[in-house]
Amino acid sequence: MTRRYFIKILVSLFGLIFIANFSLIKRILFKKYTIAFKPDAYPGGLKSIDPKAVLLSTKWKG
Amino acid sequence: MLVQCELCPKGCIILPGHRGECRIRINLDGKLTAVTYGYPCSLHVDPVEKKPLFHFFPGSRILSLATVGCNLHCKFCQNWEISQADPENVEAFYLPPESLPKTASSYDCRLIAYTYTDPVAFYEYTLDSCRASKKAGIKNVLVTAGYLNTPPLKELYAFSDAANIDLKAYSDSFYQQICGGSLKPVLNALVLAKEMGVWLEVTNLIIPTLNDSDKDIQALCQWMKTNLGKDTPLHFSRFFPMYLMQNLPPTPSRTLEKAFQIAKSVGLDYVYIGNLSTKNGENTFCPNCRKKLIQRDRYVILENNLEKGQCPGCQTKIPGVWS
Repeated sequence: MTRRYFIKILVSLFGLIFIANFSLIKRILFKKYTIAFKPDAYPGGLKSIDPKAVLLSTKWKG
Repeated sequence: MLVQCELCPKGCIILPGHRGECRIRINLDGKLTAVTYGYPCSLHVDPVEKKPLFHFFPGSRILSLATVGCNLHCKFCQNWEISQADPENVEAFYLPPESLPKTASSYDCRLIAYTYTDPVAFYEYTLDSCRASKKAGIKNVLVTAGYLNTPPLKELYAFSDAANIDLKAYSDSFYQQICGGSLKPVLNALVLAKEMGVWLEVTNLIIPTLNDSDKDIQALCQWMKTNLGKDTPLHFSRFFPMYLMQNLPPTPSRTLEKAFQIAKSVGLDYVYIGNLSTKNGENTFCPNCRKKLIQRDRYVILENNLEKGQCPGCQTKIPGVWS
């Protein structure tokens, strides 16, 4: 085996170990969510629903 | 603790106290929290034609709502003031999902649209609202870019009656450069809607110099015909300079008319032109005998000749949900 091939194999091996470890690290470090939790409060300001404001938002009455 | 949001293809990894790309999914104490759940910032009564949906309860009123936030960042966004805003900068109402059917009924609406920004960004609120509304006999409509992972999308479609999905271009580079997304998840969302029996209409906003070439339009129409069928309505929409794309002119009417002709020549049966008043761009014709079935002017139905969803001339069944 030439020195060049030996280096190639070594680099590939390191690459594989890195990828394997990365997904392992990801699994340990990250908590995965698809569905998020509901909030305790809204971060922006709140306004009450004014029915007139809603209906006036369109002149279209159907 | 870092969290990863697996809702959309972006898969944001979020540091404590930080937020995902949609700005509304925040890592609070190691828990991914949808901070706009139950807090819409926009609530309007619209005609269903405005969504646009032309083959779904024509002429109906539709309660339309949105919260802040979007998982795409389209440079031409027409609602960027709310889609690209942080929730702490926008006022909202408190309207929990269980109150929504009653609110819709009080405005004489039997349809609810999750729209303006993107309902997939405020996913949990959309899903719970769809569940509550369906239980109350109200139809749910999604107006979305369809940029969502398949498992949550399947769950949402199960409670949805119709969707207008924005196919912004049939080009991955367009999605990457202009919208900050990718094409494939959108195509999957379109096919899945069709497979799951959700009534589907497609919108394509034509933007001068970006997605208006004959080749682009031809490819989009061909993909639609092959994968969604020739009877899926396609709406070509006129672009107006907005947000980060104020350097471009509005789409010329001849471009939209040309797109209309291309779609027709590819073989799509129901093609419409939106955001522009044209002679026949908003009307529905029978694909068999060419009789005018529905005449529209912007959002107003001037004439509806359909009889039980059929052409009165040749009895061809017109696809859609008519009553």
